Amino acid sequence: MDKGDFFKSIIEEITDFPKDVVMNLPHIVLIGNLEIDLENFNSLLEYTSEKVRVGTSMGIVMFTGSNLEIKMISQNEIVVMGRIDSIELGLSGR
Amino acid sequence: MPQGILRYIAGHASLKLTGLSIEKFINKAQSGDIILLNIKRNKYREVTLEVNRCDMEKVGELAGQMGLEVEVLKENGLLYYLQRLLKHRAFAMGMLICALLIYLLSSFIWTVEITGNETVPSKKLAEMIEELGVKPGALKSSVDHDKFVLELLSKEKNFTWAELEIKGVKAKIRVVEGKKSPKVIDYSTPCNVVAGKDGFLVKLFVLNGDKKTEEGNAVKKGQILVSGMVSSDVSGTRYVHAQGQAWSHTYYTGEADADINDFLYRETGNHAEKYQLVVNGKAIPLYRGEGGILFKNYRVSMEDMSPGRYGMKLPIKLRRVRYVELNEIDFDSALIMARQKSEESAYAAAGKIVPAAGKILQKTADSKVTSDGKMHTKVVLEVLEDIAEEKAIK
Repeated sequence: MDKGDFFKSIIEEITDFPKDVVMNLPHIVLIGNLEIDLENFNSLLEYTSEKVRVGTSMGIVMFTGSNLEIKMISQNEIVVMGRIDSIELGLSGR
Repeated sequence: MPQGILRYIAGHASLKLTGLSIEKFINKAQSGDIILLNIKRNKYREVTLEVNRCDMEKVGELAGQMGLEVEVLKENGLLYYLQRLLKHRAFAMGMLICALLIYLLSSFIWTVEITGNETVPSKKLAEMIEELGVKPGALKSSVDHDKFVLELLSKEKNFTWAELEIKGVKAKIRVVEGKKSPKVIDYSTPCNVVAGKDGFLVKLFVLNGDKKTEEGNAVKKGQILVSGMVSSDVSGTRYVHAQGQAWSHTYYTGEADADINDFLYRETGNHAEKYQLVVNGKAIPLYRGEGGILFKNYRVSMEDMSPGRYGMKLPIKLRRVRYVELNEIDFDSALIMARQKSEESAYAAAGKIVPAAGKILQKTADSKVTSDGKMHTKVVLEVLEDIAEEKAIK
């Protein structure tokens, strides 16, 4: 944890603000293996029907599965639907 | 408002993008605040997606910058439909005129339905209602409900209640007729108690006045039963308001005929139906061949079904011809059935004139076959009732 993150975690503990807001982390909600809702991401790196790679502040997040569809993509939210088999968190830089 | 409805109103389009830099396009769109929906990768170089109508222009520009080919697959939503509609101006005008016509025509009364009148003739009532402004062609908004009801009740004293309901283009008027209250003679007015009808006096209760007849006598209509003129040696002649009850046996008759021929055949339960189209009074059969019926004995009945509603007369009608199979039965059984039928009708006819407060004591029926082949029945009902009526002394 670098110096900035350390202060952010202290602020989070004192103020009780959500961690993802204070520390600018992606917020991932998984509904069974059918849907993934990812908030606070940077860019879409790759999209095929078997794989979705998304760039976030903590690195690359990859979902694999079959019949993957991007249900919705907006400035800070992406919803992926289909049969999700795995989630891989490439924690580069953190 | 739910998001789906808003999206439908605003409109959205299905697009097919073909090219190499699809992810780049999606990222650019995302950073440009364009919401992309239902993105589906079909091939490596091809993707289908949905975009809101307001973002279509931006998407087109962006795809051009990225070197992607854009094909619009489908356009959905209210605004798209309106846009399409505006291209066909004559059609849109037609629809508008049609809507206006429907609105205009539905603001008039087209039919008037009157129910509930028993003694007041329908024609007279219809004329009265027309005078009050409820008639075919009248503007619905011009009819004042409360005023109409009040005026109708004040015009026709026989009505105790009236209601006007305008449903669509139909004005429904319901009325209820009241029974006339009996004439009440003031207690201060001297009167006699007379027989209201012929009868055999069984019991006479005198509450006030002088008894003029004895129980067990036959009395005639109008005969004084209790006199209001009381004479005594002490006070001389006084006129009082005579009161009393005269319980008598009265007789009511009813007669009815039944045609024996109607009972010579009995329905077997089998029937056949055929349809005809009646155009301007000419029947066109809607069946092949002559339409022969296999029944030996049968009865034919016809029923016209008009497609016109609310009393509209159309020149086209559908006619249902119904053939009911009949079985011949023996004459004696037919005679018994005709007698039963005529007795039933005669009792019903006599029962109609019996007052509600009367108690039927005895029923007698006499049936005979007339020369024209009909069964004639006469029934006599013996009723116990109070026949006392007050009549003022002039």
